[in-house]
Amino acid sequence: MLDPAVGPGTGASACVLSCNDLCKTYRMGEVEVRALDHVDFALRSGELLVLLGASGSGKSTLLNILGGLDTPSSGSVYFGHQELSLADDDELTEYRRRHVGFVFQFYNLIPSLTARENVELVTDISEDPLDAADVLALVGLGDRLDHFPGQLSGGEQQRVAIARAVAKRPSLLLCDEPTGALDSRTGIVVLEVIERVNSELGTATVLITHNAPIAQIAHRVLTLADGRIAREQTPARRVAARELVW
Amino acid sequence: MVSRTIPALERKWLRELRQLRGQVLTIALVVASGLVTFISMRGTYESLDEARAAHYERARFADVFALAKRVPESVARQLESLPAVARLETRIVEEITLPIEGMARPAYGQILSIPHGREPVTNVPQLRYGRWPERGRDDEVVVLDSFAGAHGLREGDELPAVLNGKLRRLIVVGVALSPEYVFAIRPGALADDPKRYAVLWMDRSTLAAAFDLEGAFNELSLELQPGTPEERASLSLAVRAQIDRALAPYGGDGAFDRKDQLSNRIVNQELSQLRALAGMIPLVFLAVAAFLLNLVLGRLIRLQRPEIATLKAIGYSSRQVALHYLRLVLAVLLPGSVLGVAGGLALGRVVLGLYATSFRFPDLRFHASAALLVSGVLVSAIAGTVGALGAVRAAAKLPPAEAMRPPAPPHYRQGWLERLQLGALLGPSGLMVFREVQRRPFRTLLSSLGIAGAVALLILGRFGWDSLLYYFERTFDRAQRQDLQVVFRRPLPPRVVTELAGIPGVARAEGLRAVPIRARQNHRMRDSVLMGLPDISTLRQLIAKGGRAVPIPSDGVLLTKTLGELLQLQVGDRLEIELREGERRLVQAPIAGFIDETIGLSVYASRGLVDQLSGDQGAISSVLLQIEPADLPAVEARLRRSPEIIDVSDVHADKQRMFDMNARIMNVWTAISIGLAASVAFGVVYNNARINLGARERELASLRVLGFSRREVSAVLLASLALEVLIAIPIGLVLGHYWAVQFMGTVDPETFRWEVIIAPSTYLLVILVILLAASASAFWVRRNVDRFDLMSVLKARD
Repeated sequence: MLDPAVGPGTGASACVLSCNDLCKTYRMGEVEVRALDHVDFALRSGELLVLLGASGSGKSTLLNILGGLDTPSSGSVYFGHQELSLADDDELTEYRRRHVGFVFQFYNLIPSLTARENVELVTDISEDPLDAADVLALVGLGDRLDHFPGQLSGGEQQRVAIARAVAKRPSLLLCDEPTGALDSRTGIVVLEVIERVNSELGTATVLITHNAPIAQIAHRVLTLADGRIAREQTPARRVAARELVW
Repeated sequence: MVSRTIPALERKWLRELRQLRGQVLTIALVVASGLVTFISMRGTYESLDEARAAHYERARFADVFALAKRVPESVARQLESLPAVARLETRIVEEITLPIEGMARPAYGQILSIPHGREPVTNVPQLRYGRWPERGRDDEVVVLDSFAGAHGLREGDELPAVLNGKLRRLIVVGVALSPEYVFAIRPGALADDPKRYAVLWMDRSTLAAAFDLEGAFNELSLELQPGTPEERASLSLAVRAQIDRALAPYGGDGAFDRKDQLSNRIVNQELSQLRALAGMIPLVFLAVAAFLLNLVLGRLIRLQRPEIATLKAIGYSSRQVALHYLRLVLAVLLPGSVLGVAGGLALGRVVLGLYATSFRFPDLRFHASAALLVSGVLVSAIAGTVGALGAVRAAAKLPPAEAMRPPAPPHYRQGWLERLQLGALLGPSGLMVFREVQRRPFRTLLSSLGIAGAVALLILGRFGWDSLLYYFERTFDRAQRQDLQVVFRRPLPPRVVTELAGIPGVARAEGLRAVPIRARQNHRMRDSVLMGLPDISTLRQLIAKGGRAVPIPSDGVLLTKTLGELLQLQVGDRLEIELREGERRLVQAPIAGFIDETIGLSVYASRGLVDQLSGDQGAISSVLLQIEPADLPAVEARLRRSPEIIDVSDVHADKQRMFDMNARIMNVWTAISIGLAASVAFGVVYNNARINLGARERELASLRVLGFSRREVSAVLLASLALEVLIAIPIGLVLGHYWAVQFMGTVDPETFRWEVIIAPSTYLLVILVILLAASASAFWVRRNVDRFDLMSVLKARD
């Protein structure tokens, strides 16, 4: 059983997730690629963290390891007191099931299920989920519950994906380029939803982007380059998503 | 450098082939199965058909036959001059028994005359080895090949035979095959028994002396003038009428056409069944192969839209693109054909070998003509191309700009399930399965039909056995309960029944009277037997529809239902009967009812009524005996000594022999149909699983990310496969039953009327084989779900 040491929003020292000296090496044919190179980092409760970086900087690899989709080559990842880097496949499945909400660039909705049913896919296997209709209302889709993905715009599909991710009341929400496939206006709507989930539900959130202006909505910004954390910033003033321009 | 010599498009094709090898192989297997069945069955049919034609021609198999009591040779000379007659031969044909040492019951058979110093002009026996009897030697015989084989008889061996009541020691001088005895079975027997059925040829003068037929004959056979089948049929009809008139004063028994000759009728029957099967079964495989090719190619082309666009953008023509994909058909066809032709030739030899034990032809060899092989491969190629054409045309027609874009997202809608508010019952994963089926009902149906074909094939392979067992149960356990049936050389007075009942060990004896008759109704007529049963008949029971035993009426006759239908008679009508023995009286009897019998066309009455119709004191032609098991050898030994008895048949031994013979054939058939059905079921389920997995990879990976376990994700995929199999099984059972009925429709109802019975064990076998084949595919799916690379799947754009 994996549990966070502390609940969200209990202060700067309460960590949901931490990693120490994390390395990840891939073999691509003949070449060895070091995607993560001695990364140390912690995610605090209730925090909205943006991972900024160019393509190939290692941010997706980090997110996949944090989300239990991948395991590091060396170093350790802790979710509360549980060392994820030592967990087996069943434990990682359980971890994702109970604690992690994922949002992808290409939504990954099930085309044969309606918006509500896509969310129910998660609420059916969760212990104390939010109501599917409520959470869809939270992302502004209260009137599109019975639409199939094929009948929704890209922004709407991404909001369904966010609703699906947060419906289980996850300990952390991991978003991989959530606005990457959207125009800026739609992207801002999606970011507003993420912002709202973070503040209203207190869900610790990691958001990956290569789009620098988005970093302004974060509590903290980590910039990755060549698999290392190049810079850590805490913006003096957070900008609301609706005020963003790109 | 090999790679330089192979154009890039070829290399693309070769590499894709490697990726698709599992699918290509399973479809090739289905094609091969089709070819195996086609070549082996059609090849066996053609081999038998050719062997039959060659044998009949070389041995000058007669067109018309006629039996009589004793006809002066001069009558034959008159008939020979009829314009329709090409050649005519007369003969002496008599029944004999052969009390062979070591056999509990004597062998029974026929002895036929051979003319002096020349070949017969019709029905020429084909000597396999040895020579013809020498003139003046009264003990030399030529023996039918099957009988000689069963007893290991060689030239010079002695053979005891009772000719006209006298025991003779005969010497075997040759062994022959005959077109009249390709399938050697004694009239009225259930199965062939080469050990107990003998055919002997002997010098005419010796035989004439033994049976007091000097200067006379009792059988004639003739060849008609050449003509079309229709002309010959009408010639045959006319000639038979003339023969009947000419032979009437000499106890003529009615001339009959070659098509009613016993051996020929059975051979024709078997061949027409084989031809029907050879036409039906391969179609299933071809249809399934076409469907699978369509499925696999369709998926490949959807996946390769950008590649197709690129090929077109850089200047490949639509034709080149189409050919590129059509070549996949070639990749399936090539191994499929090699495997199918090799397997077909091998299996053909096995199948023909099964026939060869009962059907005796000179030089029976499995021969598949080039035309047969080419047509088999060609038909497979056409089926494959037709299957692929739809998908390939879509690829050829795709405009490059459109092909660059991903295909439109699949469209789902809410259906009756939602309207009935039943969606909640299924849950989201259930809904995924349901909506996939709802979106592609046609594909689901086709997949199910493919699997149903496999189910039906298995049933077709098994139902004959089930029907046979049912027939056994009905015939031996209910209708024929005697242990022995004793047949007399000629009808005896009724007291013989009491005499036989007096033999120690005989528990019960019931006498039967069999009179050959011709049953008539206006212009319709059939040759039949009028069976007289004792008033209280316990050993021989008549069974009506539904299995009810029918008591023997005192004042009317019972007809086999089929005979009633053929003559269009109802209960209460009067049946016109021409007795074909004694004074050949014409009589009438009211029809009291119909009974259900599997074999033959018979008329039953009480023995009293038969005696009355015959206008004599009564006679017994055979006696049914029930015997204490321990006394059976003693009773048989006692019966052997009687010169009046021509044959003693043991029903249990007959049943066992028929069972053994059929079991051997059925085991081969069952193994073949299991193999074939499994190849189809596996091919369909495996390819569907692969395509499903490929098409829904992203969806299933998403489920994994959301926290679904591998088992849960596999379940979503397997549920749709399971659904297809579940739909398929009932369809297949119905289809199999339908095919079985169709197949039985090719059997001449005047000979055989087997009910189509499918036993629970067959249903169980079918379900087991299909589930096993499906599980093997499911296992593959599960393994692949375990190997999912979640990240790469999710990162990729649709």
